[in-house]
Amino acid sequence: MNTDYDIIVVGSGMSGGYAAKEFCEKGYKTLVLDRGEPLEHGQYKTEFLPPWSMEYRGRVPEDELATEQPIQRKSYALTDFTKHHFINDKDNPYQQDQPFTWIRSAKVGGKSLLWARQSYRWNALDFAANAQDGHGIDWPIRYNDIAPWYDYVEPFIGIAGSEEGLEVLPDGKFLPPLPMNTVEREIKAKLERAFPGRKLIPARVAHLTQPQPEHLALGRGMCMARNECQRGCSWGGYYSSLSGALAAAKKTNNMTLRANAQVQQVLYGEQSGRATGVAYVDTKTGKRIEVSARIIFMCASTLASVQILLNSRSAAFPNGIGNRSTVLGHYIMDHVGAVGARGDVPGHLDMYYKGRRPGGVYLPRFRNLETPRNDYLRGFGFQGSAERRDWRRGINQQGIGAELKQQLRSPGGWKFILAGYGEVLPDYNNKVYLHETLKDKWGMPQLVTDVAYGENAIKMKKDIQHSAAEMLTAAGLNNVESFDYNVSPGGFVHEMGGACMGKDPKTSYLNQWNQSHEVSNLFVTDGAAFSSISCVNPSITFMALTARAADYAVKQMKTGNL
Amino acid sequence: MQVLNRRQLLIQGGLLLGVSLTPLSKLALAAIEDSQSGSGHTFLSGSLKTTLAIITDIIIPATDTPGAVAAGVPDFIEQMLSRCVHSMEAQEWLAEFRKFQLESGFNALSKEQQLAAVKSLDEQLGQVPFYSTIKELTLVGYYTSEIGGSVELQHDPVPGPYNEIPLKNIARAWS
Repeated sequence: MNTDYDIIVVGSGMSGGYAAKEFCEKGYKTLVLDRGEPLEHGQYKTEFLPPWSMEYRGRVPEDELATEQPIQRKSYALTDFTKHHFINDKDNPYQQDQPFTWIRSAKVGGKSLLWARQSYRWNALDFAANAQDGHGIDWPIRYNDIAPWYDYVEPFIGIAGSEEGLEVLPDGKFLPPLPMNTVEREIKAKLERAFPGRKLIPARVAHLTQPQPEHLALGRGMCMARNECQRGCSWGGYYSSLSGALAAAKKTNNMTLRANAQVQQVLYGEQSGRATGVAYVDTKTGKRIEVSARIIFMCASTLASVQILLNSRSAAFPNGIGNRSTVLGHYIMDHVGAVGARGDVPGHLDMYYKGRRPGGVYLPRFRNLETPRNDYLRGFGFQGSAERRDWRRGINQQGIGAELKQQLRSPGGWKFILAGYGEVLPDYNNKVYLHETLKDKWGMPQLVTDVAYGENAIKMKKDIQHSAAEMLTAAGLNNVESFDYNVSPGGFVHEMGGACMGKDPKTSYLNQWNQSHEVSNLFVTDGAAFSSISCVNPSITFMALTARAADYAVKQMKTGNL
Repeated sequence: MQVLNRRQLLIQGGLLLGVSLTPLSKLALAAIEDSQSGSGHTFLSGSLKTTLAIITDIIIPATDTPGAVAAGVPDFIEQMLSRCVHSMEAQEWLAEFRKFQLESGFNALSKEQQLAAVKSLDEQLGQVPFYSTIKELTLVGYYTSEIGGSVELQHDPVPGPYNEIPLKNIARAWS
């Protein structure tokens, strides 16, 4: 087979970076295409700037947000320090049948630069839930299929966590955990006493609390507790594709990385019955370029991968490559959340901390495990943290002058927050599709989102809110108040589904190896492949599935099947 | 009008202000000089500028460290109002602020009277929108300035690993 490359990987974020590393390390010439602008690890222009060096101290002017980034501004992480890492919404339009917040990266490295770094294994129930309650497509794999691949990717990523022996949140290969502070330890003790079976544990995060030789060899170092991650981190203290997988891929000299390359189509060979390559537009020149390869890995991010596949039309596949089932674009999911409770913690005023800890605590799922509820299916977990109030407390309290200043010179009392993340049910009606006429400036048909939270999610949200307040009250907090910020789907940036894995080619897009049922050399290993969404954050599962699929593809190439 | 709503305050918590000092780039130095020159804004007329400066220095006065005016807070507030809030809200704020200035004859009051006027506004915090905005932006402007963030409070650009410490080991809160 005479192709330009062995492998083409579309996208360079969580999944694409990992695919590139795996293929490059096994000796395959790999082309990585990313729509974003180039970004070199370490070239983070706002990394060391204090707020007073920024014209608006970190705020972005209102007119700029309204015209350039009206969608991206909904991300908590978008500030004047980070805005250049988020896409320009004006240049990258999409249509919303129902409100959907599509957060996207503007750079090579994708959202791995911008993520919240929470890293949890999915559990056995997560992979079995669709089969058990009948919603969505049954996963063609189970926890045991992916467990060795968690074992494989976790040490490379570097995940700080504690071993807890919980079935609901399987342990991984951990670096030392982030410490829980005095208040969190007290709340843990009280909560676990009041609610047997529930656990409050250190958040598991992709931060190097104790760098290992393989991290140091890539130039990564210990997390400095700056907690300004989304500006980029020259230390490589948190995992990003730039500091991790792409750096490893680069070392092999087998990777060609092209930025500003907007892939528009996967090309299909009618005679060979295979994907022959991809067509992309160089966004700087507007030129359309075709490249060929033996194998295509789609890792462009959930919605972008689906968009490209839908746009890959041919005589054989008028609805998009590999899409005879027409299931492509369906079962889009995001977590439900921005619901929880907060309150004041009495005491502990003699204790403080040094450093801005990049993660707090986690309270794993406790609903619908042994005892099923009758009001909703599946469950949720909580992220949280305790910290002392800072000078901002002065804004809403009375007091002026020297006395106010003196007061704010010391930290305030302790506050604690729990915010829930819930699993939604996969629903065929939650979908994305291509707009018939509207295109972006490079000629790519615009995506239309038609996704909403169902009744199950709305009922679950009520329980999340109620449970949070109940636990904080039981833990002895004062001024407990619960909240629900009514965030639209997409707002959690955990969008998954659209090219779901399944056993039956008539109802699913990919098989148990993330491989197209119908086009054997086409793989999708980002969030699009997910048949359900769990309640935990997805990124390490993206990477584990990607590594597993790459291993399979390599074995198939070696036996001559691909 | 609240310029930063409660949610933004919550989620920007660690982001906006847990921020860092390392050797300042030329760019950064230029930005500081620019923001402290005080000449750039035309959002407020001269007499309103005076009123705003007096109020901010009453909220955060010079003590053993410099106060709001020395930290460039009035200029910051003008900048925020002219660029970082919806223009309609900024105009509403301006109308209220002007009304207060006219009705109280603020600039002509004695220092004691000015202090009493601001105290009275502060006692009604939350009920006088223009003042809530001034108080919020005064604190944000001050504690994100170099003076507020690294002289009045402690700036910790590269803390190293997170550690619990007894409060008594630390002279001032982290900015």
